[in-house]
Amino acid sequence: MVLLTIKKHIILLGFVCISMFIISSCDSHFDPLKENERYAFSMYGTLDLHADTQWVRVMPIGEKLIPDDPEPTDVQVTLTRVSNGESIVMNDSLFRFGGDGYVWNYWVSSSLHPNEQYTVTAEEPERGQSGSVVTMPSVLPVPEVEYSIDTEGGTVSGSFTDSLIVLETRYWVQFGPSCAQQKQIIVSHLEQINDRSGGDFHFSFDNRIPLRTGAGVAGYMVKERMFFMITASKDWPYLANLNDEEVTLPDAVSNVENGTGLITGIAQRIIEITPRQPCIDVR
Amino acid sequence: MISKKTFLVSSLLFLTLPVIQAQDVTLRGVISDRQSASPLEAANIILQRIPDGKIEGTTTDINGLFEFNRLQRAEYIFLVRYIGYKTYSDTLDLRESRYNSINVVMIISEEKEEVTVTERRLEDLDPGQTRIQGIDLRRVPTPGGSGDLASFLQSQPGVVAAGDRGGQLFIRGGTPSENLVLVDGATVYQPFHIIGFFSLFPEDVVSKVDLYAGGFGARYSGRTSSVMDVRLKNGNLYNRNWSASLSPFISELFFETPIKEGESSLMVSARGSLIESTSKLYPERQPLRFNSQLIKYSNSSNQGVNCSIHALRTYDRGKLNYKSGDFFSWTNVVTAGRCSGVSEDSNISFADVNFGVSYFSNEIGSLNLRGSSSSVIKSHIDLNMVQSIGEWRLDYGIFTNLENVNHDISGRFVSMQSDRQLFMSSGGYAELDIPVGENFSIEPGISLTTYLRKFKSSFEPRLRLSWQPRGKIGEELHVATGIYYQPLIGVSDFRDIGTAFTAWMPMPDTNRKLTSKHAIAGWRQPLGRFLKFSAEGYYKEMSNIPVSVWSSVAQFSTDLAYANGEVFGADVRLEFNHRQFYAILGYGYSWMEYETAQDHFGIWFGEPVQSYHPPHDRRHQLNIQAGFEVGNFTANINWMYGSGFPFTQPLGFDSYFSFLEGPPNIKGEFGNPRVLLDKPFEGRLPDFHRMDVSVAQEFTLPLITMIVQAGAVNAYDWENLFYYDVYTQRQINQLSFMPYISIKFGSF
Repeated sequence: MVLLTIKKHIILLGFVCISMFIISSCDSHFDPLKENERYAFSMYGTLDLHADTQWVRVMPIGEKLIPDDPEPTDVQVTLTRVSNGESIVMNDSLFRFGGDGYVWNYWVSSSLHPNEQYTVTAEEPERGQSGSVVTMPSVLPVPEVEYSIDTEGGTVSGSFTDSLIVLETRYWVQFGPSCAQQKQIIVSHLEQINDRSGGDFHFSFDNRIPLRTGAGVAGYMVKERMFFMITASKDWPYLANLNDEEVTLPDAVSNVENGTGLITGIAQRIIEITPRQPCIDVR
Repeated sequence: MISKKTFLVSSLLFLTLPVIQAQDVTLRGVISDRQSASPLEAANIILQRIPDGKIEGTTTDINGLFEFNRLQRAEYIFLVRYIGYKTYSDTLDLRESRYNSINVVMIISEEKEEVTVTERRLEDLDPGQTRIQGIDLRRVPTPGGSGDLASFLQSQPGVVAAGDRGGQLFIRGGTPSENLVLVDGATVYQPFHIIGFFSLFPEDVVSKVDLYAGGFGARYSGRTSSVMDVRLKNGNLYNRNWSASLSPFISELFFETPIKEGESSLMVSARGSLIESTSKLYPERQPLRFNSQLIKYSNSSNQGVNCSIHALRTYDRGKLNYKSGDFFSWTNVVTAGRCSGVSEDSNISFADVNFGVSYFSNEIGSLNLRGSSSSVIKSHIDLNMVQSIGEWRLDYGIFTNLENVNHDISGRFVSMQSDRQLFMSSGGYAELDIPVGENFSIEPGISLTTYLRKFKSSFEPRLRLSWQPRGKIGEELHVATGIYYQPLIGVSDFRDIGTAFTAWMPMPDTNRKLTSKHAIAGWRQPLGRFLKFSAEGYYKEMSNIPVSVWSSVAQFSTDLAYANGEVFGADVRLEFNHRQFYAILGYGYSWMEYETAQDHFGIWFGEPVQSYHPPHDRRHQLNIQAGFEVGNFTANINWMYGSGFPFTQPLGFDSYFSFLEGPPNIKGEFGNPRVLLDKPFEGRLPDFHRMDVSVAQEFTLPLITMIVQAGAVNAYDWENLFYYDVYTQRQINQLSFMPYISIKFGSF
């Protein structure tokens, strides 16, 4: 009798189980990515008026946070001078970072013209096109730098007509006996320029204290000294009114149509004060 | 002008004054179980006046307390009935004293009765309340030797589990830190173990649990979502019992013994996980570990005063994302005491005092990065009293809490934040139960809390109404409403729901207070002898909910923003019990929306304010439970369905340069990895469903009894997503098909 009751109940439970299984036999495919029609490419870089080769980063908006396993790209990146429509196709170059991560950078050997507009476009048949219009700044005269290695200081004078964005001395410093103990120390002089929108300037500087602080030890060796001055056209972003979250947003700081990123025109002058010395391992 | 505080104190003093009614006498007492001295709720008390045969009746409350007022001075026949126990009868002479008391210990009947759970489940429930007993826990298949409260709760409509690990339960829209869990009156901050089937509460230690999913009374304060009031069993006062069990998931020990026969007892329970080791036998390793210990000493006097002290400890550690990700760990340590008793010669019918210290700490960390930690130490004392004022019942009390909260959130990519604060709160409450006629009752209540230096005082009104239209047992319409404040908040980064870390702190902005307004309306209806139906609708309006600031960079952000929200829904339950067979169908519908304003939303979305469904917004939840018990054989199944949680869909990924420090170095740097996110929580994860099954056979051996159980978690091996990590793009799944066999043996 008890066995009969158990059998009856098991049949009933079995029926419930089968019903649940039928109810649940549906597809469970999960695709977290939303169809992206807003951003085709991510494009970053600068066009340098005084450089003979231009480089930009162009990456299709990916499906992975760190793209790996690169396949040959069929993205065509074109640099076009707006005033005459002259176009050059840029060359692709694969760069790898830290293991599997990679990016595509594109380059072209070309001199650009001051105060002219260029477009950088990226196109792939299936993905579509993204593009950025870049305005080049005026010519930046080479600044006059008088530098004393003894005092790690000197004077700088010059003039500029666009926004001054970088004015700094860069050092390559060995701060220990091993060649692994080297680093770059940057000392900015922007604070010494009152009007960064243009004009003549002259100032003196002494970098001994920032160098000592940056090296972290008294017995450091300076292996290289460079002076950098960069101006930028109106494309250069004004970030002071953005908070940390806003700076990261794809539409907050972008001049790329149908994509995200920023390509700006700059004029860069690099003055080598002392060339790079080989490292000395004194262990 | 009379302040609110003065008004409350005056009201309490006024209400506690003796009620002078010279001719009338009062009879009160506590009905308890002889074996454990645990109070028996809903025992039927019948009093028949001998001269004229007039009968009066009442039932005991949660403390086993009954009280008759305005009795004539006479002799009475006194009867106590409780299903499963021998009927108690006595003749009482109430002609002498104004206040009379009788405490009765009930003896279990030797006669076999066919008793189903519903017959024993108590009918007198408050709005939002679910009463859970040990036998309920046993009916949900659990991969251990005993049923467990954690498994049971997840089968309830309105209770949403984040997944099968992490121990995070969301109740009617409230987050885990908004739920108050009390164990014999002491707070436990995280009683659920890292494996979602288990908690500190196996069926062996639970006397009863009252789950208030909302609309709870003025006795409970300090939390805005729900209350889980767990009453532990007392150890057996006459017999020594023990049990031990083993399964691939957990090993358990239980022991109870009288210390002094009939007066005092000891109960010990210990549990430890085995799954970390035994998961080698399963397809996927489970790096999850927990253990918990509980000890309770109880003392019962003949004068109706019961005292107990208990101590417990839990430890959990593990990864929610098995393949990589952070380690979570948490610890609870609680030691607390409680004394309660009925008063023989005062107008206060019943009083209980609770005191204790609760400690909780939790941590999140990984091998490479500095972790975050948070801890709370809370000491509390509260005094609760019951008093009758004519036909009215007054519950009132006072409480003081001292909490030391500490958090150290490194944030890993952002600047470290740490803080330690002492937080003191004191207050009182009062609740009146006013019967209006035979079938209607009104329960207004107030709770007043003052906070030392930190916040303005809280004044929280509550109101509950119930109506039994035809006076039938179990048939009731009820409504409840109230305002709830929570000054001490638990902050979790629930953007991807897969977290088990909570930073406890006072609300950082002292001008804000986490607030929730509840409204509940429900209907309970028996349908014939075997069916019961209940439905309850609810609405909650919440403000100042701490939420994480949204970022598109792959990082853990500890910055806080505030949201306002609302949730509404309905829980429906149909229960069938016929002899050995039972079936329960539960359905929960919920709709939840948060609204938050964050500085960067204007640029991101074009609108400064965004509305979204938070990640625990489960729209539909369905649960089917069925089983039977014939002789020594039992079988249970539990099928759960939940619609998908919201999540934020990525549009794609790139690496960006900020231009903050000059032109980007695209040839030398990868850039900062970035997620191009859609609007928050616009997407939905796949639906969840799972069936757990178990069958068990009890064997009676010469010296011991043994139960062998075989079962399976996720019986049809459905791939249920636990969560999707938008930054690492990892899909973390819940447990796959896991068969198990458990053995439990002992002297039960």
